[in-house]
Amino acid sequence: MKKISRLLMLMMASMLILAACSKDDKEEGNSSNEASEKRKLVVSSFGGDYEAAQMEVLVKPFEEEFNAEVEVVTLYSADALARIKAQKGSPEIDVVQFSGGQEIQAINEELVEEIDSSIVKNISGIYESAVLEEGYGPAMAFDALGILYNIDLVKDVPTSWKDLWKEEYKGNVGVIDISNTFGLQFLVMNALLNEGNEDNIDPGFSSIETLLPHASSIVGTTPDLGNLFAQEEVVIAPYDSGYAFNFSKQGQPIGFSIPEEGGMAIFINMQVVKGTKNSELANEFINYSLRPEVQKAFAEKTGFSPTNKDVKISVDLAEVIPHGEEVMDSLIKLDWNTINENKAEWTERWSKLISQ
Amino acid sequence: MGRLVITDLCKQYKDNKVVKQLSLTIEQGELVSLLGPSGCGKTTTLRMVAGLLEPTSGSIKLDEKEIVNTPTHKRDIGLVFQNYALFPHLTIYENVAYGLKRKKVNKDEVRKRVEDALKSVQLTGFEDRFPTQLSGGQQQRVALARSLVLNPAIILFDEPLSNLDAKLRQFLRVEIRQLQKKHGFTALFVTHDQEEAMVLSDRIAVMYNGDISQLGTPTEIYNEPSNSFVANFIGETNMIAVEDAQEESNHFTAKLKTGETIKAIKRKDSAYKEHLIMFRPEHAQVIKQSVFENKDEQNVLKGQVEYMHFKGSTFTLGVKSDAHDKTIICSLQPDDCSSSTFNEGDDVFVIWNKENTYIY
Amino acid sequence: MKLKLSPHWILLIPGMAMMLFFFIVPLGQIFIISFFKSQPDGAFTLENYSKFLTDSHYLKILWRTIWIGFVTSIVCLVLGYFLSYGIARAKAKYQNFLLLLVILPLLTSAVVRNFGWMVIMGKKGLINETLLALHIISSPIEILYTPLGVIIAMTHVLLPFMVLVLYPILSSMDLNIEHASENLGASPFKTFWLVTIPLSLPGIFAGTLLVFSIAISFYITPALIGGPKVPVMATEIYNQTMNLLNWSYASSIAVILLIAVLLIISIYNKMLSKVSNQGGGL
Repeated sequence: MKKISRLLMLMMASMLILAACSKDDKEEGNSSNEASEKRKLVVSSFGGDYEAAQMEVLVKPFEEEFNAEVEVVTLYSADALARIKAQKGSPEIDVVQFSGGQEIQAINEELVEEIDSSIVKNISGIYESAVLEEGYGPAMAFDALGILYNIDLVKDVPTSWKDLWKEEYKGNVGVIDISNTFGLQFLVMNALLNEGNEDNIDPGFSSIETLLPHASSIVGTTPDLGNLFAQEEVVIAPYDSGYAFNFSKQGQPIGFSIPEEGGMAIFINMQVVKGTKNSELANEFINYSLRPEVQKAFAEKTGFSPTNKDVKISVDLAEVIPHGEEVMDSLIKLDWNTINENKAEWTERWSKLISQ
Repeated sequence: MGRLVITDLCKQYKDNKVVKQLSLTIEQGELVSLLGPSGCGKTTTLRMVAGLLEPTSGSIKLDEKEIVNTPTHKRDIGLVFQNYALFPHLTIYENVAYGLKRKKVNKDEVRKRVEDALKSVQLTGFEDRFPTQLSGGQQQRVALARSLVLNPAIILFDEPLSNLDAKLRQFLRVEIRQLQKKHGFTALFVTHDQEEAMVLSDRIAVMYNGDISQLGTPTEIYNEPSNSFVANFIGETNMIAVEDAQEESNHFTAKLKTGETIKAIKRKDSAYKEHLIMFRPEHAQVIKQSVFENKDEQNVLKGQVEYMHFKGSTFTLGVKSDAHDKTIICSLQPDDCSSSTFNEGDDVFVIWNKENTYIY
Repeated sequence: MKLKLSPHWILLIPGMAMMLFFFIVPLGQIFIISFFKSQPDGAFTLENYSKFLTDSHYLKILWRTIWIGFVTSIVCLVLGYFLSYGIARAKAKYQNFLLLLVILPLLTSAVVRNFGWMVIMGKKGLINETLLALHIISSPIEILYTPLGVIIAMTHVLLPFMVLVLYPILSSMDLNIEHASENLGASPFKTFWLVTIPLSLPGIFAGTLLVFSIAISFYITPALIGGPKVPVMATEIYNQTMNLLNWSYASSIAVILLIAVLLIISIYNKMLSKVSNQGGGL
């Protein structure tokens, strides 16, 4: 009898281990053991309303037309970059979405591959300057970094970056942490405003240091900022037009303005992760995102402008969001290579500057 | 010093009256036991006197002073628990010194008094040990010393020996009584063990259902139980149902269902209320005869021997009779008979005097 | 030759295998990575450690982490002790319900809970409004994005742990011992101090240690409630790993945190064994 009970326990133990192992297999997207008709694709997006909109206008129609199953993973750009770097060689994500220059770093570190121009034919229809790096995924939407403000409490529409320093806003200015791409861009903007640039960042830091006493808080994420605006703890902050549009759709009295010194370009782009087993489908997905009707629907929902020349957005939308090739070209573009090289050092310097 | 007067003490939980209008006076230096089965209210009464339980109504006076509203830690009353309740994190010395330290007694006096207290319970030398290192009996002695050292006027005992084995119980109860007599404190002792109550007490309060059923000396309780409950609780009884009884000049004449006539002398509080007559096994005589001439007007019942138990110092005979639905128990001296005198099934007569008969 | 493996060892194998593969091995990897430079050359180096240990900014982060953990565990101890005592002495039929109320924070999602705190702690939030209404303060104070806010939010979620440790000890305590103490002349307060607390000392140590070790490794609450201005070890590790992709430095921070925790735990243990020995078999 003892022998049998020992055998039973051995069987139970091995079944447990096997169960744990087989679950991993499934999650790797290993479709070899499944005779499924649907092709699978894993795409990263930014969560919240943005992701929800993308699901509706891009992911679901794509799934239907291409008979595919798309899994969307929520990752901010920086996190997405970290993820594909960690998974280098055997990525779990097929299409990665970036918003802030991470694509340059990804290309440099050979984490993404060139697009297949035979599949991504729609690239011919997009603005020239929306092609970020030759041969790689172009920008499928853009918006601008400018000034968000509470239209009820901020009487004078901000026209300059310097308005953030106005006495009347003291204590209610939102400062964005450097871990957020917009915070990083704002730092460089400060340098540019004070005769510095990506290679000479000191004026940027000094400038931010003068803004800190005006700050209500330093936040790193969009929901945090939205919360502070809602509680009227922040009435003015540098952020992008897309989320400004988003906040106002949620019911918040938030307006957006591009300062006279210039807004900053934010290019949303998708790249094919190197080593993906679904390269063909990934390229189809990117191509799909460049379709005029998809871009138009996306713009209506998120406030991010299309990069396809053939898109005509509605008049109402055109009033509130920056759009069109001319505007896009006028936005300040940054040298992401230099920024990426220095990011670590700037982050540390930033942490020391802000921590109590 | 140490006269406790309890007047109309009540404890009621919702609809349940656990202690009903209990009144009791304990004189200075007396050891009074509260004796009764579980649920009779004895522990509840003790806890109210200790201040651990709030009475529903009633008065408790210690030496003329009303203490029913005094918080526990201000009552000058000792308390010894069933499970000793020693402080496990303190040494024996610190346990005994605890109360003295609360009274801010100076260090030298504390030392002297603790040593004396430990000496009186024969635990000198145990000062640095911890309670878990001591046996049950030793722990209880420490608990006693802990109360004694404060020289209280009265010490309450909550079934202090119930956790100990029989031999230890017998030994310790004698010690407790001796200590009580020596130090002269008043003691209220709760127990369910009637032998213990009989040995220790100056008086016993037999409790039943929240009331004192009878209060008296051990002799009184045993020889003159005032009702069937008390009679049954103390010692052994033969309690026989009676159909009818007549009160005569100096005795009662009771008639059993089966026709026999039993006589019981009149006692102080005798009354025919419960329709029972009682006699104790040791007052019974058993005669192995087929016929019996009742010359001296004794009480007689006829029956057959059911069993014989030789108990060493006594001999118990069980007799089955139509007159009683239970076996009649007779306790005989071995001198009066031997194991060969009776056999199972023998026809016998059980005989006893009306002076040893009780009617309830 | 028959394998003489008793059944209980076989039952242990899945658990031990999990420990090995999902805990020991990754921990070992982190340890090793911390001694090598991040790409490209990957040479052996101690610069990660020297960077951390010589830069006051990072040492402050370590100190802040330990300090927040310490304060949280003390606050949880005081609040949790009274809570546990109250529940343990409540009527038996209410005790389970009260315990459920205490555990409720654990049943909510961390993110939902912390966002709730962000609203309550805001300058126009409930706390400030109440303090202003009671005239305790004259203008709103900053609670969100400060160490104070982090401590409050962490106490909220770690209090149940303290109660779950202390409650069994306090409810199983022999009440007669407290009665004996009162009978011997100690007021209820004195009894609490001289008897109840010493007897629950092992629970006090275990509870504070538990809360402390969870608190110093917390990520979500310091990240959301503390924000960028209140970096702790966990958030800094995240920052280095995810934002800066500096895995070897991040690993060294993790190792330093682990060593700090182990040191503190061993000190706790020494103090605990001293206390246990006093009680002669608690």
